[in-house]
Amino acid sequence: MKHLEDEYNKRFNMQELSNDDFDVDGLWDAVEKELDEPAPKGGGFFWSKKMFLSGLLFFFIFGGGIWFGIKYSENSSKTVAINTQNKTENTSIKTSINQEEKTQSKAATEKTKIESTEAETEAETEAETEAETEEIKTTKIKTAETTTKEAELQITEATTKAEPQITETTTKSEPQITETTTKSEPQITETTTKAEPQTAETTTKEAEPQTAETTTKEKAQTIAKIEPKEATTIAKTKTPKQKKELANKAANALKNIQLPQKNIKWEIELFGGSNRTNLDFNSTEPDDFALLKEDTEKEYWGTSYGIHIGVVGEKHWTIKSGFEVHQLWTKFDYTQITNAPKLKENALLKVWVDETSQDTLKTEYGDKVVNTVTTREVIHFNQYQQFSVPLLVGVHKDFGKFNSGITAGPVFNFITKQIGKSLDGQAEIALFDESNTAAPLKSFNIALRVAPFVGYNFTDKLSVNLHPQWTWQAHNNYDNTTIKTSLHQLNLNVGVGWIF
Amino acid sequence: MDISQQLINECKSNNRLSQKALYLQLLPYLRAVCVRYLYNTNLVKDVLQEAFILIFKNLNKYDSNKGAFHKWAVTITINATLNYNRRMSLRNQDQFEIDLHDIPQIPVVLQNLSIEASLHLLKKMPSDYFEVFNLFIIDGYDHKEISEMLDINVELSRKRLSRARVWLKEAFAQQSEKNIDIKKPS
Repeated sequence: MKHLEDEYNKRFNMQELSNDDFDVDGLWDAVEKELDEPAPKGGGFFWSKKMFLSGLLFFFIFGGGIWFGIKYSENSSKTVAINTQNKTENTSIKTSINQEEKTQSKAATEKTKIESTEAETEAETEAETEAETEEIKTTKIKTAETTTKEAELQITEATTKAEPQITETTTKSEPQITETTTKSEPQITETTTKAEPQTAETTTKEAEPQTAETTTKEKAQTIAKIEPKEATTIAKTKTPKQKKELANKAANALKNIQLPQKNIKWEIELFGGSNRTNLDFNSTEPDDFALLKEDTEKEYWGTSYGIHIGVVGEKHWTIKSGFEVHQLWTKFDYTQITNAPKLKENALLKVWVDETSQDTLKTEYGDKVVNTVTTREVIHFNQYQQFSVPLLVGVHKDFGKFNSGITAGPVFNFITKQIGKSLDGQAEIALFDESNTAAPLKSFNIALRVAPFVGYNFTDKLSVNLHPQWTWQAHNNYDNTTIKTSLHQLNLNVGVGWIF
Repeated sequence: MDISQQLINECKSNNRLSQKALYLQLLPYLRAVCVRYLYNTNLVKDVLQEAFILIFKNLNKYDSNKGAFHKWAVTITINATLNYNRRMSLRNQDQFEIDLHDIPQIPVVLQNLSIEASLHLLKKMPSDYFEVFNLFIIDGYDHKEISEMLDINVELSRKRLSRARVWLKEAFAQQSEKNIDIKKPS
């Protein structure tokens, strides 16, 4: 054997063939022509189109989610911010209350952002601010009594050192008309009070030159319009105990404010699983070849994995997209029986045997046509590699720790690899790859998918999901025949989701 | 075959004359490789065209420390040829595989065969065995290299070589038996 191998090596290793019978210049021209062609940039139009489509989809999903989020927030809430800064005590308090308007919603969804919830301090500050009227910067009073008709009582501005104002009071007092406008926003409700004549009178009367006291009373009265009890208390509170009680009350009020709930939640899920792919070949007319194709292409298991990004809205709607990789397999199983005549060279045609001794007397050889029956069983596993970008919409419901729902929508598939054996358009066994007409699938197609799911939420942020899915792809006529090709893909995936 | 580094460098700088010189130097060897590996020899020109384009476009990837230039060029050509064989319709292979079950009509002594006939005999071998036999016995690649070129594992490469040897041996042995039977028919 070694001798045989050496002989082959000697004959063919570094073997040279003469160029005499070969079109050397013709080949060089062809090579040169291709070398002169500029190299295509990037992956060409097809890849750019893929990238563009993928980008568009992601933009749609993310943009849509963000838009919905912003829109919902704008409609459902109004933000009232109160910032109190007590310069004297060097204490900084900022409170923001996100309040839903009464007219808009029955169930108030409030968004409270407390940057510093030192409620006690805040309450004390309020009390002090209201009570210590000597700190009022400007108080201008002109009484009606002293200046008759022209006399005006103007408490134009009552600005405490604690800015911005918790209570802003503007009182315009003309001889007959006194209008008190109060904007009070710390306690959720917003009230605009127009002073009744009685109130105006009272205010006017009480606007005596004793500025500090009068103003205190005025303020207390104004507040009383909003929060009668509290305002009075604030105005009159002087003892530390009362202040503390107030502080506690304010703290409790803050606690009782319902914390906001998120309108939209996002979920990222990594998943993997197996798939089962079946190719269908259907013809509108009775076609034996379609049946043969159907019989020879059998479903088989493959694998899938990918990432999904989804948005779940308040009314249980959900949008999902992502990127998936599928390794699809089908089984080509075909037994070919060939019955063909064949010329057998130098076959034994006749033998002459001695009857007595049974010795061979003569033999005759020659070429002879014989029938050959060849049975050939071909089992081949065909492989398809597919990248998918789904765009699914559906419903998502939470049931305590569990969640479930269903999504459906188009899936954009990019089939980058097809390799295997199949019966081609002439019913012959053929090897195919993605560049071959015998390849059954289109390199780009839009499929339809239905995907129910169930999940278990381990924590608020982590869930495990099980989602079977069914995808249907329609393809072109197979290899210039009338047979329509379609693909059914059944998946069973398990995923881990992160909610944020 | 000696190919100067200077010629290679000139080819890298896209000098057409140098490229043609290199082409003329390589052509007889690469053509022989194509003829040896291809089942359908009508495709030789197509495969050579693809191989030369690959060679010229990938010249910058050639590393002289890793081996001789002609070996690198031959490897590219073999890969191109193997790809062509794989893409080839099985219609021709069917006939080929049917033939495999027949007793090869070959003389016992290889030396008596012409180069063409010995190559024709080799091509009667199953394609998987044929590829490994060619790569290992004639072109001198080791099993690791073969496994990378054919995208199979090393063990399978060894197995195929072993089977190729058995096939060749049996082919000769059966021919010898036939000769004996002819003399003494039952």
